[in-house]
Formats: sequence, structure tokens, C-alpha cells
Amino acid sequence: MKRELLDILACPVCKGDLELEVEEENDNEIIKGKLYCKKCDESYPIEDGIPNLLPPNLRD
Amino acid sequence: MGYLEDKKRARTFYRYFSLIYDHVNPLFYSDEMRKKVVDMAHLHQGMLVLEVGSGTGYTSQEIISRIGIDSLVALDQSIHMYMKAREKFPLRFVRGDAENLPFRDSTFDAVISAGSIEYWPDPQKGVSEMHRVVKPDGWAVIIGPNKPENPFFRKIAENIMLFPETHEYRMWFERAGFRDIQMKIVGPNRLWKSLAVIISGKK
Repeated sequence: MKRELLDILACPVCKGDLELEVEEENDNEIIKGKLYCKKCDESYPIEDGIPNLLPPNLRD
Repeated sequence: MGYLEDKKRARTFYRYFSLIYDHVNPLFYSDEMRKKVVDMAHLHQGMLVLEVGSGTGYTSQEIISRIGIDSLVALDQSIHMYMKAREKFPLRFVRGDAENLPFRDSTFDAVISAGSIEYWPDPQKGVSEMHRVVKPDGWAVIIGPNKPENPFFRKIAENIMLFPETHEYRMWFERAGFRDIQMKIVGPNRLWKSLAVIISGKK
């Protein structure tokens, strides 16, 4: 995902702000990392450049 | 509850359905229908648009042909459906759930959802989420199946997924807070003139 996307993303559960933790990034986008919601104490993974913002109970 | 309204079940179904989806879908959802859907969102250059349930990108294609690929954010539960879309164009994609949209309030100039509501266990919640993330004066548009008139087909249909009646679509939009609600009954051909409902509303 591109960094700018963070400007519009919110936690799917509480709609609060997310903190970005980057593990791998190239010139264009974040390949691997996490989006963390402080309020819910929940992390949403970014894998293969795709942020997975499914609510935790709907994840695989 | 219809078989595919269970979200994990629907996702497994789509994992395999994604392989043939683009061959089957045109039978139910024509190019004319998708044009009408996008027309009703009143798009113009420079807008930021959300598509809820982008699937293999059939409606996304119409949106980006009008206002460009950078204007669209696509959301779907199924990574397999998205992979099919990705083969066609580099969509900006977020994996997520229609009833729990992962976006801030009043973010998008328009929100479109085509052929997704029939898999939402709580359609009211999904429609209300669309209302939440669209900007004031922005349009939301949904196309979904219309309840079959023939009782036999109705029974079969309801065991698979949700087939709302037109008044239910209107009720969800009203309760979500939309105004200027408009509806169109459409179909892919002359035999199926009332297969689907397009509904739009302004925040």
C-alpha cells in the first residue's frame, strides 16, 4: 500500500486512527508491516502490499 | 439465512468462483447496467471514490475509465477476486468488510457497491457505513438483486443469498440518513428486465 492511504484509513471496529509500523518498503509502497489501533490494542497486517483491515473475527 | 450470507463461507465460495466469475457474471450484470450504476454516482474528475465489494473489477473498470485509476479505492473481502482484478489494472486495494468499513468519516466524494449487498448479513449496517464514509452532498449507489416474482424461483434464490424487495432497499437508505433517494429496476436482457435494483442517495 502507498503511504498516502494512511490518511483515509481507520480502524474497522472503533474507526479510530491507525499507527503504521513498516517492516519492508520499496520506492513506491509498503510491502510488509502493521497498522496498529491503540484504542482496540489490535494490529492489522500489511502483507504483499495489501492492508488487511478485516475485523479480527472475520480473518482467515 | 442464505448459504452465502455466512462471510467465511462466501469467501471460500469466491475463492473458486473467482476462476470462472468473469465468464458467468455478464449473464446477470450487463455493460448497460454497470454504466447506469456509475451514472447515478455523478462522478467527475478529481473525485475520490470508494467501491465496496470490487470483486474482479468489472464495475471498477467503468469507474476508472471515467475518472482515472488514482481516483478509486477498492475494497473486498476476497483476495482471490482481487487477484483477478489485479491482472487487469493496478487497483488501489484494501481488504475489508462492507459492514465494518476501515475508513474515516466523510472521506469519499462517492461510494459505489455493485452486486455485493446480497452477501451482507446485516444490509442496514453496510448501507449506514456507506453513509458514514461518504462526504456531505456525495452520492452512494448500490445495485443488488430484485426479489423474483415467481414463488418457485424466489424460494431457490432465498436459500442461496439475500434477495431484498425494493421497499427494503429504500428503507435501508432512509434509515442510514440518505436523501433524494432514486431507484431503477434493471436487467441484462429482455427476458430479465427486473433482475436487479439500482438505488442511489445523497448524504
